[in-house]
Amino acid sequence: MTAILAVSAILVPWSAGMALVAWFKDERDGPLLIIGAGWMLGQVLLAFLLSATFVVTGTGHAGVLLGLIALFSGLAWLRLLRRWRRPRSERWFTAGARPAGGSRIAVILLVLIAASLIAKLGILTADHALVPSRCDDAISIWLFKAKVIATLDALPRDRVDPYYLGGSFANYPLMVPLLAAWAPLLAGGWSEYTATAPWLFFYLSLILLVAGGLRSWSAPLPGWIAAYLVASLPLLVNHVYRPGYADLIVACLLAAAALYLMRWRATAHFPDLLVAGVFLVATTCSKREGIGLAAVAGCAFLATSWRRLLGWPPGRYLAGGLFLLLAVGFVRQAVDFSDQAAALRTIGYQPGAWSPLGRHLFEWASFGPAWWAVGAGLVLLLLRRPRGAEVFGVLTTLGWVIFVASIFLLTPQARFALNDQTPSRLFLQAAPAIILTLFMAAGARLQAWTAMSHRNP
Amino acid sequence: VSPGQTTALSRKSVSRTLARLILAGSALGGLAALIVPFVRSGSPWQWQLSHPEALIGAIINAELVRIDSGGVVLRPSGERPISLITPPLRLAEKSNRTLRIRAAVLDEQAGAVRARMVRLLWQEEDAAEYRFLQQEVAIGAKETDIDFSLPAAPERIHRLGVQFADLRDPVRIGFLSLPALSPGERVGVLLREFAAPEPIVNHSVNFVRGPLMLGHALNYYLVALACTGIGACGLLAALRPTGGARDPAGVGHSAPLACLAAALAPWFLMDGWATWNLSRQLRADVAAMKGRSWIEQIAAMNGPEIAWAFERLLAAPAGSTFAVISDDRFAPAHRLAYLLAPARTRIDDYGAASLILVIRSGEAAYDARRGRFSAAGGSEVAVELVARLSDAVFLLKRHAEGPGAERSRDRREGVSAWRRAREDSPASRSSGKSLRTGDEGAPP
Repeated sequence: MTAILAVSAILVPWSAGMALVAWFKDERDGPLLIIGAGWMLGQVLLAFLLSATFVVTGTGHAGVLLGLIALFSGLAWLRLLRRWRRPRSERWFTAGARPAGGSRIAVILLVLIAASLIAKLGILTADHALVPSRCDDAISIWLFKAKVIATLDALPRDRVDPYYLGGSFANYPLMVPLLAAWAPLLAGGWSEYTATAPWLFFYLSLILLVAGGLRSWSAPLPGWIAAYLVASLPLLVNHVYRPGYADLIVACLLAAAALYLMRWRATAHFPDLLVAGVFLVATTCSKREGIGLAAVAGCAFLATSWRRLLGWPPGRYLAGGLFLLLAVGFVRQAVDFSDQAAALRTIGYQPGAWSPLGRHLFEWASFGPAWWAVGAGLVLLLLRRPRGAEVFGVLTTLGWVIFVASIFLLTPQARFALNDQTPSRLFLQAAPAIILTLFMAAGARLQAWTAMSHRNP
Repeated sequence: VSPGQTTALSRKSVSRTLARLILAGSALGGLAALIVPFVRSGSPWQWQLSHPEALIGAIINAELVRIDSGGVVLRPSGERPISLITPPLRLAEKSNRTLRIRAAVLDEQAGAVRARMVRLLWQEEDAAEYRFLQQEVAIGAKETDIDFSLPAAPERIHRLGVQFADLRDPVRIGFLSLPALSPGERVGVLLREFAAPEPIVNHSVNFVRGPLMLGHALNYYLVALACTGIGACGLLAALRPTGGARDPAGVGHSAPLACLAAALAPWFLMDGWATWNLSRQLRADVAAMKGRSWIEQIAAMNGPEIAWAFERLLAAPAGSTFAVISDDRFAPAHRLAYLLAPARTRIDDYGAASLILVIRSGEAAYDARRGRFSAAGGSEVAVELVARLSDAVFLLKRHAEGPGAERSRDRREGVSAWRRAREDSPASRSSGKSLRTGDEGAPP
């Protein structure tokens, strides 16, 4: 029974998320994007529902929640199946010419990528199934809170309680601990194996999101290359192997938000913007840096899309305004910004942080040569006088890099750069989103580029 | 041909020539960067440990047994691992980049060769802490050369040292040197360094250092390789005639994909290394966990002392509070807090805790005869011994009397003291997970 409940804890929210993504799907979206984005959206909704249940009723009522999500998911899928039986509507995208076949080099690349991804997923699955994560430092904050919440089936809100908001550092956001607590809550007992399962599934969904998202954007090969680049970042893989830190989850949510923002730029399909908004709110609620990363994405989006927003009908303004109001209200309630406010009060230039930042980005193997490639990609994009989606890609990349670097260069957090603790980990939060946006920004060019070789005999 | 067309054609010709020059420069520059580590000449340096004067200014964390022409023989002193650190150095800028340490283990089973964890310690300025690199090396009674790439530019290094992390037998160290290696030897060193596993430990969520080979990080070789590949592929494609039946688009035969493949090749190399490292780590982790009970797993991951303490604290009544007094302010306290929460709560203030666990603390003062305990100059509390693993690891029960009693009447009060301590004192958030010791503060 415990095993069935643990499996349901994974599958039911996933199914609900997939139903929502499929509901708003584009004709060109394949199953990869629905599965990948569906997992993430399901987890975000689960965390929001779980926190609301704790606040309103005092306990998690995990079984009831599971039933409600299953009911919603079932109804949504029934409706979707009916809709899909109807004749297809016209396409939102004007699909570009896709390469029909594959050249030898492309086939070799795809085989290598598939082999590498399968090997990594195999190792990581075996790790999650066989090795508990009791020795990692994640247990001092994120899994600690999750264990307390799952064991007490409560989210203490009395400030003098040693387990106020799960204990440990009270000002750390609760979304990640809630996600880790969900399966043990449902299965009726704390277990590292079920608690850390979301990290493996976030990793898998990130691969599918990038490959699937780019697949509906350009040719399959760039999508799989981007997915491979993201999935093989050594530090990202370590976060799946040693699960418990929030950075991987932030990275996934931010990448999903960036994908949906760029999709809206191409489709002007309002639900895409809403989904992007949900992911940005989730990013804000996942970690203390989330607000900055989400703000950069939001500002870059507004800077490149404000003309289109001005053309909205009044009803859409109303819906957008309502969403914004709800989002701000929720974030204000859910996140303690005292640390961020304190950091802003103590701003001061920390020149000593430059050297460790360079070491983490360009010398050590946390990201392989990814930051070298990002630098080269930015230079190439800037030389081509970027337009439209490319401007968004350049602005978000520069914004995220500057934001994370400024945490170390302008605040007392510089000490964590000087002792080499956190620079790579914080840059990891933005790395998948940067790779994704740069690939999407250069999508048309990449498609043309790879298609050139496909045209050759 | 109009003058406008002539200008356009000449611009096209110039940009094509420029592109070819850039590609050629990329290929040649990358190739040169790849070759340099194998042929660069540098000045040698050696710290020969054959006479007592060699140890002047050195730091030795061990018992000095003897020093003679064969080297210095050191034995562990107490619980501390054997370390030998050079006097302050002034290495030339052009010194060789591979540090060679000659050592032998003088254990009772002469000739037995076992894998030992050897650390290279270094400092860039005078400080209490050292950074380290480590590798597992098979060492026995026969002298073995252990090679490390210098982790920083030679002129920046203040001290170098060697530490034998898990060795309880005497060790003989012949010398530390920066020898001049032939290109062939360098290839061997490079392959060994590339193949050396990087253990995935607690701080591995913070960064992956990657192999350091002949004084250069992995990324150096990858970027050089990518430049060479892209430059060569691009140049070959640019020099081949375009157009015709085989190339109707006039873009060169498969040039874009070939360039893409050349750019991805170093990535596959990096990924291959990382995946291989991951699989080796999985094998080690599974071997450490397989067939073990929960307590044994805790012992395997956190050490026998924490497993022992966990079992004793688990036997305490639900709702108990406990304080951990240890020189390591992070690992024992946080591990036990997690393992026992929420039924048993860790608090910082030992004067308010019902149980006090001492794990290797230089600040703890326990008087068994009087039944009193204090730590770090704090107030004395009345205690009785509950369990003892060793002189350095024991569990005490605090009696509800003495200066701490009033504070402990109300558990909530004790808890708020704990909370205040956590929130007010950055030092109370100490974290020992980086390569340095003494890291403090809440990580982002």
